[in-house]
Amino acid sequence: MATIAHAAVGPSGSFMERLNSDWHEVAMRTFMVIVLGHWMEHFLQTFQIYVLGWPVPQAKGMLGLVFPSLITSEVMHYGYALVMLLALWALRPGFTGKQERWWWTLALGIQFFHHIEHALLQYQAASGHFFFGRPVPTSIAQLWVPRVELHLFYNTIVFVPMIVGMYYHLFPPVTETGRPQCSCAWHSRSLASPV
Amino acid sequence: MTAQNAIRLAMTAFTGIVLALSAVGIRWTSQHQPPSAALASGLVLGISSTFALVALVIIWRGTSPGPGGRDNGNG
Repeated sequence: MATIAHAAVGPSGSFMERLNSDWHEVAMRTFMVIVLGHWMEHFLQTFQIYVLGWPVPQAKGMLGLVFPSLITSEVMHYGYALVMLLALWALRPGFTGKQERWWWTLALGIQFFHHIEHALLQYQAASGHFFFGRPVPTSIAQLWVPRVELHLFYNTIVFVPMIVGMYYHLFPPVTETGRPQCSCAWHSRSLASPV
Repeated sequence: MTAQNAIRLAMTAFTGIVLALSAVGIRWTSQHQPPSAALASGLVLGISSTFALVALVIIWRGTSPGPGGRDNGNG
């Protein structure tokens, strides 16, 4: 096993520079734990509805069964969407390869729209003024698509480019010329670049 | 098993859950939602499945790590 060489900035760098170099691997792993935990809740909720046949209002995932406000609170949903958006943005400079950055940026763009949808829901919940004459907070796409399916969709189309970007980040193609700043890659391309 | 294949398998497992739930979801929504909502749900779940399949193709077609790396495919 060879040692990976990368262009770390060291303790003199700014927070963002260190986040995208020395701390990128740990930050990415932490972010993935959060993302996968959130996914598990969506998986469980849809499993409860589609497979167990639970009524939609009672399908609250795992944590939602213990803490129902986690599901019903728009603040929680908006907060997660915001955390996700900020993490996708903050960790993006660490994606130095062309392909990995393209996929990660695609996830960031889609998450931006997803976040807008949650912001609309949050505004309606906070103000009590519901859009489109609906009795509950309603986002734009929710005019056509039921909420459970819509958010399963949003999370999928954010998650897929994320994992493709992450895959390329971990295993960069040999054709990639971008110089990695972090220790995430399992590949040797960084060995060719002097530190 | 190489690290690359282990990560591919983990990603495949997770993506496989998305595919399975989308497939079950398309069936469930067609039976339990009004036709217009079921159509919209089926459409977004179908797109989700397509995204998941694209991810699987990319990560398995993927790239091979170069020689001498942290994991060069020898286990």
